[in-house]
Amino acid sequence: MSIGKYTAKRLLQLIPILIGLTLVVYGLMYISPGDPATKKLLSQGIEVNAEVLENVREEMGLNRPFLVQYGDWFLGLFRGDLGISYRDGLPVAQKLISGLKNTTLLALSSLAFSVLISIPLGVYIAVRQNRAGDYIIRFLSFVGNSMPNFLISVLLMYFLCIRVKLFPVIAKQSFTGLLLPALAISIPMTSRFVRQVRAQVLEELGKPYVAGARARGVKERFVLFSNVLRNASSPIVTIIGLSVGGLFGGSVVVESIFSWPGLGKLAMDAITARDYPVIQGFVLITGVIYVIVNLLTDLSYHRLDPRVGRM
Amino acid sequence: MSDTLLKVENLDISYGDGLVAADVSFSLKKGELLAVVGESGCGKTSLLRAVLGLPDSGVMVESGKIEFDGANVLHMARRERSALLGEKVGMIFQDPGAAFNPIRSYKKQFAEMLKSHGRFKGEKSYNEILDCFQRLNLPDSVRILKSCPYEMSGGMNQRIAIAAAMLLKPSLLLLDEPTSALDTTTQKTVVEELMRLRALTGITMLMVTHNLGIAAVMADKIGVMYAGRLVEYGAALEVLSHPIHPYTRSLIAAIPTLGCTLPEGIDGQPPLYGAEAVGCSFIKRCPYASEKCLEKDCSLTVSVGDHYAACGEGQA
Amino acid sequence: MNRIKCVSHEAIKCRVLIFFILAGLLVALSIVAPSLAPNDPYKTNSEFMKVAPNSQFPFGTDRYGRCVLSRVLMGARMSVLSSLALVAVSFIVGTTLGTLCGYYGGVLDEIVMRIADVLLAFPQMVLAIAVAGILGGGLFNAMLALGITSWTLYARLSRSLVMEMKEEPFIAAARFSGCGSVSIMFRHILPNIVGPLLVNAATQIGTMMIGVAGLSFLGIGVTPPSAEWGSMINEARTYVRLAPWTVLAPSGAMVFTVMVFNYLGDSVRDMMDVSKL
Repeated sequence: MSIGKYTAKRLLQLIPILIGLTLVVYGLMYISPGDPATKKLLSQGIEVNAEVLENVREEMGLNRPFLVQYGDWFLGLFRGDLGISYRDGLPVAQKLISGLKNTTLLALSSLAFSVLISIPLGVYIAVRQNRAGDYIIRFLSFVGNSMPNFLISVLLMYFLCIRVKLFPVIAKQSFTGLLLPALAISIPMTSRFVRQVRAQVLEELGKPYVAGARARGVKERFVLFSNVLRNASSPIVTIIGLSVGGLFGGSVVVESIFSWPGLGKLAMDAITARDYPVIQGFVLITGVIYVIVNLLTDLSYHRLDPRVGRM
Repeated sequence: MSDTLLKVENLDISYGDGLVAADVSFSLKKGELLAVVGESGCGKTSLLRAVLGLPDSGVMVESGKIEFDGANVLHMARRERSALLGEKVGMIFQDPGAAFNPIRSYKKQFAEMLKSHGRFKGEKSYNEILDCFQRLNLPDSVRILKSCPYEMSGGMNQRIAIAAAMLLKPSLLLLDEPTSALDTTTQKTVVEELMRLRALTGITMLMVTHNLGIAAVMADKIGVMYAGRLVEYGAALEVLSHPIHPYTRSLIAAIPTLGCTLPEGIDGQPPLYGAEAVGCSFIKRCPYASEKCLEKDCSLTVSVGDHYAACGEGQA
Repeated sequence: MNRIKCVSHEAIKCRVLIFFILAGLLVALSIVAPSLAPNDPYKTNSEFMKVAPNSQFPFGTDRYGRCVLSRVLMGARMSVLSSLALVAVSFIVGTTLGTLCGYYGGVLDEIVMRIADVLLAFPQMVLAIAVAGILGGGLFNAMLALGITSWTLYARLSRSLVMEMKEEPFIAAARFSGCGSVSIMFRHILPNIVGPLLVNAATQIGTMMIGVAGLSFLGIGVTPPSAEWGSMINEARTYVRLAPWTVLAPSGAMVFTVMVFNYLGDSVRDMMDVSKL
């Protein structure tokens, strides 16, 4: 199957997956406690009595059967209309897009930081296997990996915003504002990557062609960069690609703590406020991004290692 | 003396634990081919690795001397010794697909080799490589150069590996069971190629093999190893037609030949760290074993002219 | 020609033992936590609010005057036991489903695997947050939210292992000698594939612990006044400047515990790798 067909096939699979997901999430919201109408009234400071509640519920279309509500939302997708937020009446699509921009910025900077640190570090400790540096860095990466990112965020905030007033507590949308949340996400990610880069490089170094090249007098830097790293790049890229999904998950927590106005914070606020349309939109957009990123990772894997046959 | 390219004296080799080879001595004159034969695990590959001297290979020379072209390589600085690789000493590995990075084109890998030795001259170099291929009878050399090793058959890979090893015209070629991983027809081709190579360039070869037939066809000298020790050593014809050591005699008797009676195998297995043992390691499998073998001095004490053996028991 | 230093099998088994014992101690600690706690973890003391560590309160007190050490110990109970329970249940459910799918194939296989695909088409933590948030929080909902996706790991792995093992000659022999399918699955196939599954279980414990803590931190897992490390950290961060021990104590406990379980998972994996040779 050619690349084009494979891509098309994967993208088509996206549709039932998204339908399934959004249906499940919508269903969950439908059966869960907590009424969005009540919440809306409360947040506006309006007293809740039965009549007002009933009117608002009619207005919000909450009395319609489940499938009708879902169907309505689904059809709206084709118009590019993701509904209106229950909380502030803004169009969901608009909120999501602005959130997406910020989250993408955060995700890409975290990813860049992690990759730029972990690859050289991983190669370094692979080459110096079992020496002091290797043990120290491996230990540090283990610690980093065992710390949940909410913990790192809180600790960073404590040490860098409160003890030493280096950064503001509420992140501004600027480079300095980006730094701490990006760091909070990068630390566990770098820790994980370093170990995996090391493992891949070690595996390659143990392969016979390395001895073969050395026996021909090929200089060590050629062996390491043109051969070992190049061969290890496809599994490394796969690992990185698969982590991107985790980036969107990790960003929920970090964005909430640092008040970074991204998708994660949006989702978190929406969940607390039972803002159904926003939650649905969030699930949709995250699902799409996740599937596309995984697809791109798959495609790049096949490009980097020509031995892996076409599907 | 300047005739001797490689001289190994009383070499003890280990991987950090026990000795895997002990008291190995031989010499190679320029243009000669020495075949070291023996069962798996007898230490012959370790011997080759010790001579090659790749850094980080795990092989350790505990004592002895390796002299290449008059200089003791064991006393050389790491950089000096590494400089020999590719230029003065070439190596052919047992696994043909393993000498090269499977997913990079040969063109890039050959260029890389030349660049490492400062001999890369752009297009001219590629022409030289193609010439080399043609001299070695590799068909379709242009297409080969552009392909990747994973696309090639085992035989082709091995022949290209030979071309690569020969590219910088080294004076010594080390071969680790060069045909074991190939089917018999390809084996024949590769053997013929190697012999042509010798005739053309007069290169010195040290070959390790468990195939006595190939040794018989190619070698000037044969060394027989058992459990880490050299048990017999001499001119190929002599060793094969008038073997002295019981092990060599059993080995030859074990060769199957067409149309004759079934060969006799040798029961049992060689000991793992036989090199460390006092006395003869072959004692458990030797038809002539006796009490005095336990204390025997296993150096090459028995000799007939230039043909040496560690033991001459039971000769007719 | 490998340069890789081989660590002896003995050393690896030793490591597994050490961390198994450490982990076991942590579990034991969690179980007996109530009797170990020096003070009542739920008792508020208005005179002792945000007090620094001293002899009466070894880890100090929080905003409500509650003993931090006692709460950390109770939190251990929450985190350790709930993650173990979660992993155990996911393991059982996932392995059973995966084994059935791998053995019988057909419609069951299609359905279960499609469901797994849908669930995995989404970052797991985000889904957990969405589900737990929508269901309203609480430990059970948090565990459910995490459990929705955690079984898929075991299901996929056991399915592929069973499919491989199904073709083995000894299975055919068992069938010929009259063994029923269930018996084959449980007495013959399962014992052989349990190794890699256990490795995954061991490594997942730490992840689940972080998951539960994360959800509690966000307020949609274990909620106060129950003591749980994640929610304690969340509660304490508003006044961390005044009473840093309220954040540092549960943080330290959390990192230590997760590290022990992660090291355990790592060493189990090393051990299994070597014996697979």
